[in-house]
Amino acid sequence: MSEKDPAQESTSRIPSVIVDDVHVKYKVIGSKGSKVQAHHKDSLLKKLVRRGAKITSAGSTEIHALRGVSFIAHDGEAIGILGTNGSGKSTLLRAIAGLQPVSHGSVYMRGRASLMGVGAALVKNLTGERNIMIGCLALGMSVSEVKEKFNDIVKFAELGDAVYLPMSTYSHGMAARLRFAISTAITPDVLIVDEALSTGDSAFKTKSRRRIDEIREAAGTVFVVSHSSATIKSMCSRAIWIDQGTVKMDGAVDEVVDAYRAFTRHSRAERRRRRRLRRKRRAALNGSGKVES
Amino acid sequence: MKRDVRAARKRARVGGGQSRQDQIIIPDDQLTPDALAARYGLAPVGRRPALLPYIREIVRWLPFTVMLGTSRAASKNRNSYLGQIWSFLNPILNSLVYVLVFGLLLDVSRGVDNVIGFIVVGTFMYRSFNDVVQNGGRSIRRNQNLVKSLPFPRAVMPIAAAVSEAVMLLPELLVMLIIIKVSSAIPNMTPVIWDWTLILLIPAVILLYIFSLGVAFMVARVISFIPDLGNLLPFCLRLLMYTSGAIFPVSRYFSNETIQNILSYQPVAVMLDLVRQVTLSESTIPFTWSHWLWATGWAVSFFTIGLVIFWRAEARYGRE
Ligand SMILES: Nc1ncnc2c1ncn2[C@@H]1O[C@H](COP(=O)(O)OP(=O)(O)OP(=O)(O)O)[C@@H](O)[C@H]1O
Ligand SMILES: [Mg+2]
Repeated sequence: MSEKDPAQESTSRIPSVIVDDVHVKYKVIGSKGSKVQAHHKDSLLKKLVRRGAKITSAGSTEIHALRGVSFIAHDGEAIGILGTNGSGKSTLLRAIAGLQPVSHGSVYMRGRASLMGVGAALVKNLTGERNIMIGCLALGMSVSEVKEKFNDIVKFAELGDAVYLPMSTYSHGMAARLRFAISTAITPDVLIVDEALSTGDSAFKTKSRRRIDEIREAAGTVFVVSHSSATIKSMCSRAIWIDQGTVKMDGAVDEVVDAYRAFTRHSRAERRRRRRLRRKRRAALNGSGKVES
Repeated sequence: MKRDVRAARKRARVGGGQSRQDQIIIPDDQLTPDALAARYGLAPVGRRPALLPYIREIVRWLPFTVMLGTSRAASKNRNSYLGQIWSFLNPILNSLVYVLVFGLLLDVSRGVDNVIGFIVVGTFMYRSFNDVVQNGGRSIRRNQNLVKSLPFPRAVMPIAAAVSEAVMLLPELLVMLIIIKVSSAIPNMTPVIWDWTLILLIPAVILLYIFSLGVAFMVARVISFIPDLGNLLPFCLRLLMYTSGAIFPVSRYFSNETIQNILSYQPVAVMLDLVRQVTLSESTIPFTWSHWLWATGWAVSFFTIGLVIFWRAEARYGRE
């Protein structure tokens, strides 16, 4: 493996998560849609079948979202995951948490992962208080544990009296605080933060960063997905760049973030150049058309 | 946590199947991933646990299951003026329709002493079974969002659906008993006389729920992989309703004894008769303990087989 030993500061090099050649294929039932391109050489029967499938939206497709991802994470590491939209970051993290069945390869882990997915269990028209109960139970705590942690959670989320209001009255940031507070109420062995910090204000960001550091110091491992390279740089020691379902780069955070930035800048420039070319060609065509008519 | 690490190191030194020398010679970065995982005591993620640990997990998540089920039940009839009253009106109106059509118009309930009681028990109990199977069976697909974000054992979803039905059951049973009592006052109907066996209504309903949950497990597994079969489910359940004697004593329409026996000892029919034994005084459905043996047998075997069937696909739910 092409690791450049980015976790220099961690004393122990105990693996906590091993991802070994993981492939994930989504099965999409009932949507052959327009994705299937027609070939001129296809037989009439094939064309008819395709047309029929398109109209009735029968059949199924597979989306190969991860194509052989391998890496090893160690205790006390914070790893940033970078990549464009749809590159497979969330899929990878769900696979690590054991929530997404993998079609090939395997993931090994010590302890429990928390994906900050309590949001799915919370009920909008119930109060924050009740939602803390539901969320904590959804993470597998017992009722007595929840009662014990309740005050800590309220204090961390800084909701004040708003805990006694329905969650539908919360702002985005308030709801995000509550979710973060609930998911980190028990220190998980592996914490996975997928775009969960983007809506908090700066005070909360600092606070959540401190919490993440605490988890890391307790020899846990943290994965952070963010589209902000500043967030990744400030929180992580190592970064992995996922591109179209494969690991494009894995190493020290500065190198990877810089390479990723250069790549996006380059591809944006490339796109701009192509657009300009296209426009020019179109203009030329239009011009000639006018002359003809 | 620190202790964990030390334990892992110790385990690494002692080693799984390899000799101590190998352990020292091969450095970490030359091991295969699974050997490395074994050295540091990492467990594979997303694998199906053994059956007993799985059941223990289900028990551990019971508080969440109950919470989910009750809050679902509470939010069921939110957007209507009558609110929760609909959960009573529904089965009442339902049984009223069946009493009118089958009991009075078609008069198919030949030889039944108290037609209203017979049909009301049949429809109330069958509706319960029907709803547990339908909602439990679809629960994995319906709650993709939850399944994809939290690591509970997947069996929590069908169980929560059953809990959500059970929450409304106690008041429903009361309504059912009141209707039976009222029907006794109607001239054409034989009056119903209750004795101590009425208490057995509670274990009878519990057996019905255990059985229904078993069926829901099987249906849930099938539907989550072949959703198309979900469209056939209502038809199957309706067919089952007519062949189980929920509305009229179907087995009396056959003279062949084998068919009669099959129709009256199939699980749903047994469950319905069990409830009728204790709540009605039909001369053709006397109280017999042998029926309880049948019911217990069916409930336990369906629940066990259903749970095993469901558990076998545990690691594969949520591939969409
Ligand atoms: N439920 C799903 N069904 C089918 N395909 C999916 C599903 N979820 C994701 N995909 C596909 O898998 C690929 C990876 O998606 P994923 O959500 O992991 O991307 P991501 O890197 O997290 O993107 P983003 O930065 O937008 O969050 C995409 O091509 C997407 O179309
Ligand atoms: Mg994502």
